[in-house]
Amino acid sequence: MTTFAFYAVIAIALLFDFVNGFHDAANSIATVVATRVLTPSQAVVWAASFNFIAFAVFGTKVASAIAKGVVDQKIISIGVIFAALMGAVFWNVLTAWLGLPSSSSHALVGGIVGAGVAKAGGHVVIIEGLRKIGVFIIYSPLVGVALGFTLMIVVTWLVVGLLRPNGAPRVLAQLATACILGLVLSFAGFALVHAIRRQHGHLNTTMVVAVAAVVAVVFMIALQRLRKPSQANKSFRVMQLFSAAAFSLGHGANDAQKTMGIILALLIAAKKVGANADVPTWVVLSAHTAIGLGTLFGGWRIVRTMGTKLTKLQPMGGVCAETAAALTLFFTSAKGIPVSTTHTIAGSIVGVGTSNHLSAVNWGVARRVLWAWILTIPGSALVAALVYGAVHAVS
Amino acid sequence: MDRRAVFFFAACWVCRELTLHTPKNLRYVGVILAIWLAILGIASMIDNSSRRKNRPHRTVAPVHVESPHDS
Repeated sequence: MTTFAFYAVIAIALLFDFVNGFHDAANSIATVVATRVLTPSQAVVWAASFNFIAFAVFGTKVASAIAKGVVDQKIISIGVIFAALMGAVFWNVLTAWLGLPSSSSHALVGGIVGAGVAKAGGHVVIIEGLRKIGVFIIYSPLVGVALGFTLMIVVTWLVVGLLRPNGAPRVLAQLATACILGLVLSFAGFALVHAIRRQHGHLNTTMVVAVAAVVAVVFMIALQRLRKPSQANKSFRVMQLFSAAAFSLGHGANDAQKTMGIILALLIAAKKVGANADVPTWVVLSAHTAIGLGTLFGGWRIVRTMGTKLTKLQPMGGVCAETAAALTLFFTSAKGIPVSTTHTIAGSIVGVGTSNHLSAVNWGVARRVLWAWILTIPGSALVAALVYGAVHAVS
Repeated sequence: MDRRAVFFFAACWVCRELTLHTPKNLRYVGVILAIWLAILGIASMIDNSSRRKNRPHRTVAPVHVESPHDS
């Protein structure tokens, strides 16, 4: 019976991950579909691939934070994990019905807290871990706002300079764009190779600078041809592929790791691995497969709806918002902080919108996000505590 | 005052308050973000005032109100 319950809870955790991919796919590829760079089905395959690839790029710090940093490991049992998952699922369904854009990540954390407290009391909560997650509920969208706004301003300045007739501002903008793109692409390429080979040593700075200089020269030559706004628009359409890929990578890294954390906690509770063990490779692969498949199977319907609704999106704004959100997710994943990908992209979109006018932002949605911030952890904790109480009474 | 600047200053204040509750090893995130948002607020104020200065002044023709004593 215990073995059946153990595997059943792992299956529920993977199902939770699948639904996460199913639901959140729209965040990463809506802009690509809206601007008709890719068809919905192509966009979904693109996002799912990068959701999966994330396992090779990022570590498992977020998973460890979920498994070991929310409640005392000693009280975690199959019942606690089951109640936590049920609390998160129920809360997600309830908020979807109410139209609140809640975060499944926060619901999961709330679920663990609620089930843990119901089992052993308030002293089992790790205040420091919960505080880290709590402050980043607010920090992550604000980082998105600041980054989205700044990127939009810088990119607009560069584009205006690039489209000028010959003169110093045009050359300056060409030089700045070529240097930025050269450095970013070289650094991303090197970081990817290092991560895939699992060589966590320092990057070879000389090599990065040398390759960046070559890439910058290539871009400098290409930018000489840029004369018309339509050409700039076309370039941003292509760049959207990269920004959407980066966001999918960040989404895969942060969200798949939450499920890994749940399974790791379960494995530790069942004494299948040691208390200080790292996440087993099969858990990493299965979590990334589940989120990738979720994106692949469910995403395209949501994307089609989002893609047609978001007709006012411009490629430049899409690139800036996705890049800002991706950078935020990369940082938080590297630091082992579970954040909401939905709230992060929402913050980035607000930042991009604010660069134009404050009234360009739909503040009704922002208010609903605020309510979701306040209610999710206590709400899911309460549901998980009730579920744990019911499970405990039955068994 | 520019509403966008108010938004950035409010966000800056939130970050400053949150910094006190952030774990020590991550406190720099709040500090950097608060400074960044303050800079964006100041930049927004400057942008708003320069736009106002560059906006052409409207010349409104004086309205003559006829009083009953005019006739």
